[in-house]
Amino acid sequence: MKETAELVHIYLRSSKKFPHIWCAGCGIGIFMNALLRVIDRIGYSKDDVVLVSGIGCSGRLPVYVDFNTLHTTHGRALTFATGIKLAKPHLKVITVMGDGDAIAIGGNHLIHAARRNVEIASFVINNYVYGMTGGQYSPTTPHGVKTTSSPYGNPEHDFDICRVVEAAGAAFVARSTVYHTRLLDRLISKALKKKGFALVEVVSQCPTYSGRWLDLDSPVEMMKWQKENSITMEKARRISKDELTGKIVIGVLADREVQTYHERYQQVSEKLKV
Amino acid sequence: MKDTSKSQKNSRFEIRVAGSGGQGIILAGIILAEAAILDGRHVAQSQSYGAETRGGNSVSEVILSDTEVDYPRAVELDLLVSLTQEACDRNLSDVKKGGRVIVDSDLVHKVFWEAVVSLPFRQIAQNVGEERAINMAALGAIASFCPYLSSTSLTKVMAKRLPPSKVAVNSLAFDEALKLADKLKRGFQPQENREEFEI
Amino acid sequence: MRKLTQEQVLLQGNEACVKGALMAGCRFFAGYPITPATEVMEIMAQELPKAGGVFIQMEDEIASLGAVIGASLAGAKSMTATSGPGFSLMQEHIGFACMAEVPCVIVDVMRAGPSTGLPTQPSQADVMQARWGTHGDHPIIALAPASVYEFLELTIQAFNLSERYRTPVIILVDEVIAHLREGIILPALGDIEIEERPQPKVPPEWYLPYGDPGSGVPPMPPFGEGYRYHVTGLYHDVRGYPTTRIDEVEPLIRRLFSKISKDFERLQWFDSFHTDDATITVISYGCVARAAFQAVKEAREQGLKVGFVKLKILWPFMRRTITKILANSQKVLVPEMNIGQISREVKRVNKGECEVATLNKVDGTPITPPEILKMLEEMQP
Repeated sequence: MKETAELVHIYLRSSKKFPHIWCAGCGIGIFMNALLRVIDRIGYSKDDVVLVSGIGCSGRLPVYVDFNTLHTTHGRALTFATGIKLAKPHLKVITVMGDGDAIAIGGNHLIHAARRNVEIASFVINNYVYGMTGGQYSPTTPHGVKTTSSPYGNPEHDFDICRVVEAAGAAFVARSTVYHTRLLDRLISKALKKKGFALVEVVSQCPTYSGRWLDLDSPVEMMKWQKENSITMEKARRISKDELTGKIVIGVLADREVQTYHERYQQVSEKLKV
Repeated sequence: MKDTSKSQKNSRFEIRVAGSGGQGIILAGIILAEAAILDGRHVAQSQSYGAETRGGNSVSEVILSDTEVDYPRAVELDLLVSLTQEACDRNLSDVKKGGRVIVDSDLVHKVFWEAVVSLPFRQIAQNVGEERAINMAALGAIASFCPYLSSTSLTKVMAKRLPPSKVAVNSLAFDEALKLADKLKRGFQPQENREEFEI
Repeated sequence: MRKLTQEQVLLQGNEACVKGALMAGCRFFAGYPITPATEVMEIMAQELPKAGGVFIQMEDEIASLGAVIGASLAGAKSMTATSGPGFSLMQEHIGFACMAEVPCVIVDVMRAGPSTGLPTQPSQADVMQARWGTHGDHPIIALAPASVYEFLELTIQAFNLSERYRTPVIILVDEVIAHLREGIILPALGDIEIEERPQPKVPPEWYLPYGDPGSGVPPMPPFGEGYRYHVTGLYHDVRGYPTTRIDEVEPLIRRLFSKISKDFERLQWFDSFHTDDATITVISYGCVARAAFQAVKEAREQGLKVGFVKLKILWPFMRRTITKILANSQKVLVPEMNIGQISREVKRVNKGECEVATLNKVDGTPITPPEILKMLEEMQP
């Protein structure tokens, strides 16, 4: 495996002015590191990788990395990615979204991308909050939690990104935290290699905002929280629903073979040409 | 180059086929338009219909001209074909003075117009064993009363536009209506013409 | 009646649009069903797989234009088609395409609005939305066909302009023309000039994705061919990276405008008839131009000195052309199927030169020749 310093020189843009925009202790950088590590290990050519993002802190990820990169509109990364993949199927199309980005404003696109099964490896960095706009509650913020837009406690209930996407028919669905880096590497690798729509929810920390309502003072404590609250898929199957409350279930939730949109389209197209 | 600077007052022929959704009104318009093209005309065909897929009012218009059609919709109809009473009532006021009105004799009973041609299109369609051929029967009458369309072109287009298994019955309905219409038309002709024909 | 000798084919407006798009090299379509634009999508679904292109029906119009922009970045000439409500949803990505300079063609078949409005009835009320619908300052190109043939021709031109200037191009067509069937003579492929987006002539390490090569339009290689660059809706520097530097922000927005405005002379597309000696000139576009042409010819036969202008480009507004006409005429009539949108532009460029009258119809039916003729008679000095 290459040293991080080596990866920096290969994959980060030398022409881009650093530092990046993320706060110290943010989990997005950990994810970015893992993504680059796995891409390097698989050996994709940089010319073949297209990295597409939406809006928010995670939306800024593509600008730092030396691929074909596209920073789109809020919630719509998957729609652009769909167009790219179908127009040039040999490209490795990856999307990076945040929780508000992917499942609030982009929820409809997410469901239909999963259902349609265009081969896109998508990663949702879930830090339970709208970070860039100042800590408002997102669809994954737990019920009752105080945020800047729920000063009297979040009146809504959160929902489970992975289960939504699994129900919508995605070929591959998995979850990890940024604490579990080895698992994260494995899941990223599986998602990238999957023929079909793949989604990995990456539970992350926002030390600036979501740490407040968890009463966790530092990124380190937040990552400890991730460690202590996570439970593997295998274990989760053996324990009761009550015991699962408040836990982060990590591992592979779904992995199935589904014909992709493009495969089907190619078949039809070939027949019509004859 | 043709002289396009002149208005089309005297070189325009406006046809409207009106009925209810499901009667094949729009297809009739398309076949009319395509046949007119074969006959070398400039043509514009349009339609309007309600949100309903079946039922509701359905209207199809065809404008024929020897230069490019200016305004593509009807202003004063030369020929109105109505396959329901409601369609007749709604559209009659758009027929120009001296224009021709063709109706289905079973489906339209009241028409306040001088030169009405009433023909049993529905009956004809039923007789040939294809109720949906009512639109092609109506085309037969149009072929007879529109001087700018040939029945040869109409049947040619019908054969192209209709499903192969339906061409024969539809042609039967078309021919039958054309024959009846021609007979009626002779009744409208000046006396000497009729005599000439009877010799 | 005289007979025409050349071979015509009967095509519906929406069908002609697809023919034009395919001739121009369109190989990607994403859309969402909406009356009265659906036929464009349906025919694309049939034809694109045969032509080696890709068709996809998306979950809404926002997604449709997103996919179109994505495909265009990957190198495919791409388009979508919609009507008012869908056009409203697309505004977000029209802005993105302007900012990121991604060529794409958007057909808006105008139906009466606002909101759901009259789904199968014609209108011309999206003219200002096409210009100002998305937020922020941006130039836009919008074309307005008035016949089935023009719909085909202007669709080809929409792709050409879009590729030439790296900008979204909107085709503002009304329901009348979209659903009209006319006999047209198809152009031969060899007779059509097809333009492609400019490509870089330098190696990747020298390439500046948003630098000005002099023409104002930076070259645009497709994703996946060695030129790895960044595309964003944020203000960006010449490398495409986000910036807030005042010396980078303003030059970008000014370049977006100037790449089109420098060519205004080339973008005066109109037809005219008897404008030289006209005391009254009718300025019209879309299906209303058909009624206006007939009315003007009939008025001429009555001895009225009237002229006719049909606008084929609505945006950028053809100030040069209109100013000339206003200088020649005493009065101008702008008939439109809206409360007055292009007439506002005519009034804006009219510096007291002549009297501007409007004829506005918003009942969901087209303006007829007798209505315009009557107005012309009343306007006689």
